[in-house]
Amino acid sequence: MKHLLALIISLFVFEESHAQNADTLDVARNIDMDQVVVTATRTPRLLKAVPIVTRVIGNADIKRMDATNVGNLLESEMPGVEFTYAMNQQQQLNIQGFGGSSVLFLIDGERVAGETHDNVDYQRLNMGNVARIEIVKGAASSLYGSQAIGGVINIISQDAFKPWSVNVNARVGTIGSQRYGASVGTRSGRIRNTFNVLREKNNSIVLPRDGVFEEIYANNTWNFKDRLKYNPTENLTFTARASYFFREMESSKVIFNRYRDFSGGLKGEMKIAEGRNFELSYSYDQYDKSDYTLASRLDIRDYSNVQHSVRGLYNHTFVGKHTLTVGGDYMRDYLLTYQFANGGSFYQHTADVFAQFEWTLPKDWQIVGGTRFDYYSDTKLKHVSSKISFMKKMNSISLRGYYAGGFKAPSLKELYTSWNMQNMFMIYGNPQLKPEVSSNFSASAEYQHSNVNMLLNLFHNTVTNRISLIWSQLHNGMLYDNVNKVYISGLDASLSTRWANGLGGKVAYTYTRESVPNGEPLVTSTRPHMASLRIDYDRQWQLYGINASLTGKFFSATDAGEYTANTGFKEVEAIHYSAYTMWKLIVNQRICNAISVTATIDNLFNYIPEYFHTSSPATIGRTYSIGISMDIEELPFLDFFFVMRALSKK
Amino acid sequence: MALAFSSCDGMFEGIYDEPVPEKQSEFGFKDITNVSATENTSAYSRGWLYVKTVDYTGWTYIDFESQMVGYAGVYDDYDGKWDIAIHRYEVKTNNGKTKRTAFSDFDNLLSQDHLEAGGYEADEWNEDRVAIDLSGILDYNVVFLPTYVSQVIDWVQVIYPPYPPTYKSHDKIFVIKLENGKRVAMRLENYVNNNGVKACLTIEYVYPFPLEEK
Repeated sequence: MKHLLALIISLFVFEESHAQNADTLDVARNIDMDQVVVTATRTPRLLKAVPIVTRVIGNADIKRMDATNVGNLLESEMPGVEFTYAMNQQQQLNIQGFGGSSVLFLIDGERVAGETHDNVDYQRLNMGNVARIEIVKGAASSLYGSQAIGGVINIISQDAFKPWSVNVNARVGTIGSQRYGASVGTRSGRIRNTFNVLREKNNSIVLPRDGVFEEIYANNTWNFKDRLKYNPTENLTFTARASYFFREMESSKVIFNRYRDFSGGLKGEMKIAEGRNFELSYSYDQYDKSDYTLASRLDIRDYSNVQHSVRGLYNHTFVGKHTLTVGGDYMRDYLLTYQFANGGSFYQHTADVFAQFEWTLPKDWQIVGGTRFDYYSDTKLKHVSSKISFMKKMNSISLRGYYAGGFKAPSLKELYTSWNMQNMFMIYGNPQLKPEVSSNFSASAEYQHSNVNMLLNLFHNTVTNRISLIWSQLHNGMLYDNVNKVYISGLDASLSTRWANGLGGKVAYTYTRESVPNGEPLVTSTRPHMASLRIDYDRQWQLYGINASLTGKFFSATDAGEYTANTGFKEVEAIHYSAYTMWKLIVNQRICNAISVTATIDNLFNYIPEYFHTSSPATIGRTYSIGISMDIEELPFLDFFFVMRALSKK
Repeated sequence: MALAFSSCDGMFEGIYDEPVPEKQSEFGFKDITNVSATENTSAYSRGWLYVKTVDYTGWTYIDFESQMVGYAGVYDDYDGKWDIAIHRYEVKTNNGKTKRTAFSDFDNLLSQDHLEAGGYEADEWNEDRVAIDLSGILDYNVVFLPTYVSQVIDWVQVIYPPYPPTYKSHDKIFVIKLENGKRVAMRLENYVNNNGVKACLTIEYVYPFPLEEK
């Protein structure tokens, strides 16, 4: 009886301590400036001390949003981000004037292979076992090379911290959407392993009004990933990872489009001495597309992008405050595609070296300078990207200034395409393409005090030699070519807060202005004003917690330019994209810190576009979903079971 | 990982299928069964017709009596006998009339006592259905061939925008009253070949169509 009483007391004490932890975390969540980020400087830095504005979407936000892939999450959490459907219903991204080919997506710092219409397959970037997402807006080619013109988005995986953990989760929605996932984490001695599987199924959706699409195709997705860490000594860590992704899109009654990705990697990290770290990594990523013909049951591959990458990175901190980062990458990039003549293939080698120095000066000044040299074997392209930034801290205010060069090397597709698009017209690559380059200036002020965070960021980009697909009279077809200069300017402003009574919120606004030199056509669908609002209430009691959040996104109207004639592509006409707002209500209940039930009403005010443009949200109106997530190791009866077993052994 | 190092151009090629080589002999009339007359039906042939209509600039001409298939450019005369001609998925008849049935299965249709009479429609003049030059499609600048074409046969609908277009298809049986007074019934089984190439039509047909009309 005494033992039973002790057990019950221990359970309550245990629960209370958990509750306190959760509460503390929740209060700090919106404004946790003490978390470590790595993307902005390629060295671990506290968020409050990072010299380049970095936005973080943490694990708690991912759970609260019950997000499945990175698209859902970015659009919900960040204004200025819009995902729309490109041709063939692949998702395409626009972040304040920069499309998918100008934003670099990384998984644990590694590039992602494959693209469709210049965008990576966002559905493979699933949110299972993700610790956080770091977003650095603006050019970052001095550290990350090609494609980092508009920003870098780095998805950081979660480690296993407990001896064992098992999570199972499921979500079903009113339009036939289903998601099932499981994660298993183990930690024993010097070995940690995390395994995650996610299955997602979306039925086809017939859109309720006219538009460029009549229906959104059904999709079936499988995603597996595993990460093993081994620490033979305190100063040495080896990481091995492998993942597999499969998606099938039911694009017609006779052919399904299939997408697969196989990736793996090995990484060794060594702490040579205090303030001196070295890492060496190898990464493999293969993204394939195939068409599965239902009648013949033949699954024929017509696209494969295979990237082998090797990277070395060395950090040296001098006198405890100045950090030198040097590194280099080598990549072999292989592309086989139906868009090359006779379905052929090309490959190229790329190599780069980079260096960055962070000076920490008296009176809370910090200056970072960096440069990177990139070489592309196929075009003999040599390019140097540089950056310089400063940060000055004054009590609760941080001022930051930033100049960075961005560049995007012509891809193999842009160089060598020779494709008769469904017997309609030819699309040609252009071996004479020059790299797209940009100059990015930004200045920001951030106020952080207690439970309030405010940010104002102004930016300007000049992008030259933009690579675009245009009509060529000479070729009598579409041709990849360098086009006119584009200026992209704007601002980001945000205010977030959280109070001890559980109330919190965030309001954010972005303004973007794109312009071109006089006389040139401006073809853009970037909405100039976007905003987001979140109001939430979060409380944790001993055995029960609740988070209720109302989020809204506002997209202003815009007149997108579309070319009207194929005689030189000089004339454009304006297609009006209406303004709209989308609201979502999410109620998340946590029971015993082990079970989480999330009910969601999406498109709360039942918005349906008058006409479904490619930039319209693919919605049929208000939808409902409910999800459950269970951390098995946290279930109270397990504690009871383990204690009883221990007692019985005595 | 060792596999990755050893295969610079990728792994797991074996999980995919190789395209099936296309043979000219695959096309035309195939697998024809001659069915004798019964109490309810006259004698007829039932079989499959494979035609490749990927070219936008020509018609594929079909004669059911002689089981011959021919081809001519959209601006050229065709000097052979023909009952119907197909351009991509559009069908024109040689002074025929067409109606759509509610049936998708020939066994089911042929087991009926009769076919409902009437409902046939002649081809109609059309100036925006038979696309012969899509090089300006991104500018909504498509060149169409003004021609008579069956408005009834809609077995594949190509919807654009978006680009590439989306495809909707059905397998309902059409009955065509031919100029010679006979009837042919046909349905589309598939519009892609084994390798997924579009505008490769697999058509099941019955000729002459044996059910009386009442």
